[in-house]
Amino acid sequence: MPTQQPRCTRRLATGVAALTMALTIGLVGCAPRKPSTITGGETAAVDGDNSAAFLDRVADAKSVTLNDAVTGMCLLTGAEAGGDFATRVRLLRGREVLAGGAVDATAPVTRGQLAYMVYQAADVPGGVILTLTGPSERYCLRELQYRGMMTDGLANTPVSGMEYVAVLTRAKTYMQTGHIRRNRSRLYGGGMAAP
Amino acid sequence: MRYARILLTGVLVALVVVPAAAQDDETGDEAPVKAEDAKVVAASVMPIVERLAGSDEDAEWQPLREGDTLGRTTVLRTGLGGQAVLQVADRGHITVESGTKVALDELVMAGEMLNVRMGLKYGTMDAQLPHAAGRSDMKVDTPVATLATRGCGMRVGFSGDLGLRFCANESTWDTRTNFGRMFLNAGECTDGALTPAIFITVAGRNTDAGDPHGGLTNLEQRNLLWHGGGRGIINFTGGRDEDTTLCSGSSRSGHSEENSRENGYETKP
Repeated sequence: MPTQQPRCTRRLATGVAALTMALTIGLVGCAPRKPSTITGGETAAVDGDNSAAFLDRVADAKSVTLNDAVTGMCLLTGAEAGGDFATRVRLLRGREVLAGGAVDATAPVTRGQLAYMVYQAADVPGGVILTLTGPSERYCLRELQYRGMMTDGLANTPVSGMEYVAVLTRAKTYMQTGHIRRNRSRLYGGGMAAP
Repeated sequence: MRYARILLTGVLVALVVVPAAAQDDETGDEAPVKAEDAKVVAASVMPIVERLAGSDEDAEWQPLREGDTLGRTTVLRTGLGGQAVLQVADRGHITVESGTKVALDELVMAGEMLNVRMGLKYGTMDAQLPHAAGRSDMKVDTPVATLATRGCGMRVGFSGDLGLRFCANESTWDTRTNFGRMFLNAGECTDGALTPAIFITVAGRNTDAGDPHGGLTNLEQRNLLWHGGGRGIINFTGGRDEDTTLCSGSSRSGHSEENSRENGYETKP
């Protein structure tokens, strides 16, 4: 009988260790990493040297491509916005503005991707979840919605040209002044930027 | 029957022709006012700001520099961080903010009156043409609304995601959209849905002191604002005059002040 207690304790300890390991693997990530392939890497930037012409052209687009979104982020951060798509992607990844994973120059940028890029480029302070887990498309979008920089909506929907121009302009204003003019209200779903 | 038809036609023709002729007589006596382009100078420019002068197809975008004079039908666009302050004759100034595209369709001095017609495609602009400097008539077209006033100070912005946001700083603004019209006084703001200024003000409060409308929906609030709570049968059906809402202090018709007193609204002097 006296040998049963250590055996129970050992089993309990083994169980706890296995559970801890499973949780650790689940949280830290045993999921396969996304390949960081760049499709359409030779695509050139359009109006990469002139933000006024860039905004004017993008404003008419039904949905913004990742090529244009990356160009806009280069203009926002003051990086070299010329050159091909692959160069700009590597530049933004070096500054942690663009997340890893596969990118396609011709694919429409989603609101989640845009929120991630703006959050990183403008160095917006995040909330508890963002501080603990690091930036993710979902929570970057929620943070920017809370701050009135982006409107309500899902993270996986494409971004229209006019919306992209508006968000980019607000991000630049935030980077210059440190705040966004807005009215928080139930009427506007939590946040509305003033003109 | 035939005589009746001829008689009816004659009456209709008379109804159309006589007032038109009378109007011609009335306007014919007035001396024509000479209109000339107002001098608009770029007083301050923070790059990147570009302008497209003229309406030719082969016109090219050129950078705007301080001291440049802008002519009629000039289109301006600003980049990230760009800003242009335009001095309009001796009347005031117009500020075109970052990330904006705006067309100056008409900036004309007709006698003492400054006529301004502008079109805002996207972005934000701020116009300060105060009454004290002289009379002015301003009209701004946005993708969703047309704003007009005489003597003005205002700030208007339009973005693709949030839509219109408009704040009047001076005088009463006539704000029209496809589905409605609102008169906006100085210090009041509205949006593309013509949300009453009082709701915008409540929405902008810093402190959130619970539900200020006691659980009423937006539709109910608007209904109460426009039609009042009703006083039994007499005012139950409303009686709101278009010109006597809380958002408008101007009286467009002669009887509006009387109606406003009846309805419990105050008309500002």
